[in-house]
Amino acid sequence: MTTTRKRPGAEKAPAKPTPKRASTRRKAAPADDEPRIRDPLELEAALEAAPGDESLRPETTRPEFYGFDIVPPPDRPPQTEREREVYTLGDGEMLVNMGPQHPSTHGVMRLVLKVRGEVVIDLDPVLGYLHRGIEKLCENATYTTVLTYVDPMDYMSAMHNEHAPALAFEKLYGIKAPRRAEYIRALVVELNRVFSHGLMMGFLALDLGGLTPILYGFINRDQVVDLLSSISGQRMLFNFFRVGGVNFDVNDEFLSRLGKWRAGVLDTIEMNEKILTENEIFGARTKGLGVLTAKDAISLGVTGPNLRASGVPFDVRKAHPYPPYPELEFDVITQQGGDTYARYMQRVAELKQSIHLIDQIVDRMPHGPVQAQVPGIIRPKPGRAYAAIESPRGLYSVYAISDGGPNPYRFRMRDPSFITLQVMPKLMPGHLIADTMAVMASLDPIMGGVDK
Amino acid sequence: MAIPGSGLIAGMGVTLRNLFRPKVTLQYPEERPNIPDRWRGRLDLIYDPFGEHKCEVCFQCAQVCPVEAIDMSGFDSEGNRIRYGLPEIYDERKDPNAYRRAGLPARPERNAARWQEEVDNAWVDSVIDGFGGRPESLVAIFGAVQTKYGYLPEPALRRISDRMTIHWAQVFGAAGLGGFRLLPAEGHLVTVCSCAACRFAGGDRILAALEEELGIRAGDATDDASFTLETDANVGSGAIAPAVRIDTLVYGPLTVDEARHLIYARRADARPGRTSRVRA
Amino acid sequence: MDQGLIDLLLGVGRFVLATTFLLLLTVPTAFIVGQMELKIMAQMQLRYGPNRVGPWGMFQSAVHGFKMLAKEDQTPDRADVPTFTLAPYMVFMAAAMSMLVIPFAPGIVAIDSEIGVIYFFAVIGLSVVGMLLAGWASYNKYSLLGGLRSAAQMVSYEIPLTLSIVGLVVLTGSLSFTHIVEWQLEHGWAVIWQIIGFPIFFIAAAAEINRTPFDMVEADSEIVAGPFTEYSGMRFGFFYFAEYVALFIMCAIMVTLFFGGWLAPWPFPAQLEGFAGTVYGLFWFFLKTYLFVIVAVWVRATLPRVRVDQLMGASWKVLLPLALVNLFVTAIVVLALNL
Repeated sequence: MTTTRKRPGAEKAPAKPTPKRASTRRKAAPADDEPRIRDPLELEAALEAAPGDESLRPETTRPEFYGFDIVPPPDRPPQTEREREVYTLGDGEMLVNMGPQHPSTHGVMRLVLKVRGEVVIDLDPVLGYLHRGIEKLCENATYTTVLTYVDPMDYMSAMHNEHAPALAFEKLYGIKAPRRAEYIRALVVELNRVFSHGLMMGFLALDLGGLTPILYGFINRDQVVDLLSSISGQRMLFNFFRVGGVNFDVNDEFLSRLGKWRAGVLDTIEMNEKILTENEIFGARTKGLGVLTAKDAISLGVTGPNLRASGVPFDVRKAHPYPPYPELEFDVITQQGGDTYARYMQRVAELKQSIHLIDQIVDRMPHGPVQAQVPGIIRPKPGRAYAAIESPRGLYSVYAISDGGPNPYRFRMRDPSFITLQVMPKLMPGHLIADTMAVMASLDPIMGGVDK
Repeated sequence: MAIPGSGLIAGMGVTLRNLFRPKVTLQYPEERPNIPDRWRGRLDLIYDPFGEHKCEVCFQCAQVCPVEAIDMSGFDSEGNRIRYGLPEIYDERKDPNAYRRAGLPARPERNAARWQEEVDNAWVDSVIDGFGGRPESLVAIFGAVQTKYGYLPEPALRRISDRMTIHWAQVFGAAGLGGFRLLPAEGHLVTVCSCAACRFAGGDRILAALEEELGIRAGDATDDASFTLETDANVGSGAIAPAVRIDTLVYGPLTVDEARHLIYARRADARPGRTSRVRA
Repeated sequence: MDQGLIDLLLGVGRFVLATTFLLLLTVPTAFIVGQMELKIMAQMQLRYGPNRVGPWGMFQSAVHGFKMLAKEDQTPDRADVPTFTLAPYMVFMAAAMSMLVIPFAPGIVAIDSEIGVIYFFAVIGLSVVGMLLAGWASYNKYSLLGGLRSAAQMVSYEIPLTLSIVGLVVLTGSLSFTHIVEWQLEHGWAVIWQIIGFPIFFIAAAAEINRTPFDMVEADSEIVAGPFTEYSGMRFGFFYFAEYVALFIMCAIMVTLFFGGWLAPWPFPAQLEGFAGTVYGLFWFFLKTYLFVIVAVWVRATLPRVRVDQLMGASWKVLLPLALVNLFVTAIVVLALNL
């Protein structure tokens, strides 16, 4: 038997049947110390000189089959106690990598699941695949242009992304948007919430294997996006808010489209509700799954529908109201249970509440200007301002510091998706791989907002 | 508690009903979406009611664009081509304004000599006006300019471009098509006749011999600026073919050796040319 | 010539002819079922579905098939190559072989076996081997999970699937599909007699061929595509091919066993003689079979997927006892009515 180069430790590997071609080649192979030609161009030239001399070719080695219980060594040693805990495998455990390219990770998110069989034991969300440095970009932009940068952050609620910076800058500069502008803001923000929650129903169903609700959800979403584009001029990244008002007033086209949409929206949502809410399979998949207790939710900083689904009546629109919500009539909806089903029901209820709010806003909208007098380049006095709003994913806030210059000295955004995501390792242990995506979809994080 | 399976049946009912309902998909090429009036996604420039572009090339949009996505170019009120962003189109790389806006030296070194030419703009204008300023007389105007200066100075071409409102690239392209010298002749101007009679009588061999002798191609000048070699179709007449003109004297009929000798004879007393010339 | 030899040659010739014909039949069957899935599901989702390739987009699934043929066939670096290559064909052969015993019309059956039912359930279960091999050979954790899921699922559902038929076999007193159909000619469709057996068979059959809501094997939102994750090109195509053929076969068996096979839904006449009878039988058989294909698509368009443990629970805790109860009740009825 000819000696071939082997990696240390390979002797212990189970004997692998060698392909016939390889064995004949090995007999003709030169001694080990004679180098084979690795450079393809050199190899080509050498093969021309000595045609058919296969011994010149580099040996193609097929990696040894280690079996599934052995994890390839990590590229770096664990840095923290938590990392050591997740990446150290016990008996019969393996790591399953979900994402960043997986059919159902929302956006480009990576979950490292430690599983025993199909049961998830531990989980490590790996973030940062969509990081675009938006905060830093905003710090280099003038106060007016910041509002164009924040749009693609949480792309499912672009209007909310603009709302909080606009409020913060108005506080910083000491102006107030006209009342009509506040109402228009609330109108577009609630419309945005409708399509965000409506799509969440579809995504949850899709992650549970239901193919249809997502398409019904997109019918509603497309109508709302058309509506928003008829008022702002864009479909997804609206750039509608201005410091001290909004870009456009509502026009007849928008109002007629709004009326048409309002007439049919509940039917569209009802289709999804009929397919999902009472469905026994959907109930069996979601009830009691991923229970987030109120205590955990509060201590981890979860806000928004996920918190309210755990029974905590906290809504920024009520707790720290910003205009025009004090003038509108609505209650804080809560669910009991805090499981995936409760989070789904919470979204459905809030969706209907938003439609109810839109009705009120359209009825009560005052007349007047939509934009306060603001110079082209805003230079607020040195100071700091904080503004929080209720986005479809929870409390979204902006903290801006001015040093008197034309752009913010510091611009910090608290995105609810990022905070929501850290409950995943708490919810998942004990559930199955199949449930990972369901829990994830019910928490509804948007990776654009998580990574910023 | 409902009957087990009733939820499933309700869902199945929804999908069954939708099987027969009108579909919502927009069949795009046949059906067009109803685009709102305020739609901002359209990628073209808007015209005013009188049919004029509303864009005045003020660059304000390019300056405020947060992601610096806008490059634009146009003409200012004096007809100069102006541009925002790096010069990326070939003819604009030669445009001094583009260089200046890009923060580069406005007069590239390789053209230094030619930028120093002084041209009588008033005379160029009068020539253009004399031809009626029509584009088809461009070649005749070039001929007049070359007669005066011995070649086509770049500032004259620019003046022609501005005056006749022909794009600079087109003017330069027409001048470069043939028959005109874009660089001044240096030293002795050696012209080999390229008419049919001369080439038939051996003009090509003479040209090849002279190219070998001088070490240059036709249309070029030697490095020491003592000879310029070119071809022209109207040097001699059939009687003296093959003919060669050196400066103003016409020689012919010539053999290859005689042509070489003409060069030898002038090497000794060749004038030193401008040494600052940098080859384009 | 010896009469026995002639009989043998005739038998072999008939077998070769029938097999060739059935293998050829799988191609249009897979295309038609695939096309129905694309089109009907789209309509249920308020879309048009494919409508550009040919009239009403009817050549879309054929185009998909040719696309599969044209694609590069890749093998993962660490795959177990012989097993990896073999697996898709095993899955397909299991589906194609089980077609042999289906009676399409009076006399139109490849093997009119006395133990057709046993043969069928033995062969259709073979596809699990292919799935398991594919999952193991791919060297991919998702594939492995999918392969094991498929093994667990199919093995569990074989039992209620088979037990739900035993009642029918007791009722008809035969293991031959042809006899079962002929029994239904006299006694009416078996679904009336097997009011518990049919739902069990329907659910277990859906699980057996990995249809929604039991498509755990290739659950795309959980384990990417299960055992098929690493497959590409025509090998991947073969899995889909096999899936559609298996769907057709399961619907055909359901029609044969419970809905009178080639018989018309009314007794006047339920069956004709001669060549006209063949055409009449084929018409009703394919009509009923494709109706059940539509039902399968309809279910897929509506329902979410159940979870692995719920799937197993449903099999062992609900379907199996129900199937046994059905067997006892049937046996008692047969004894009482002296059928």
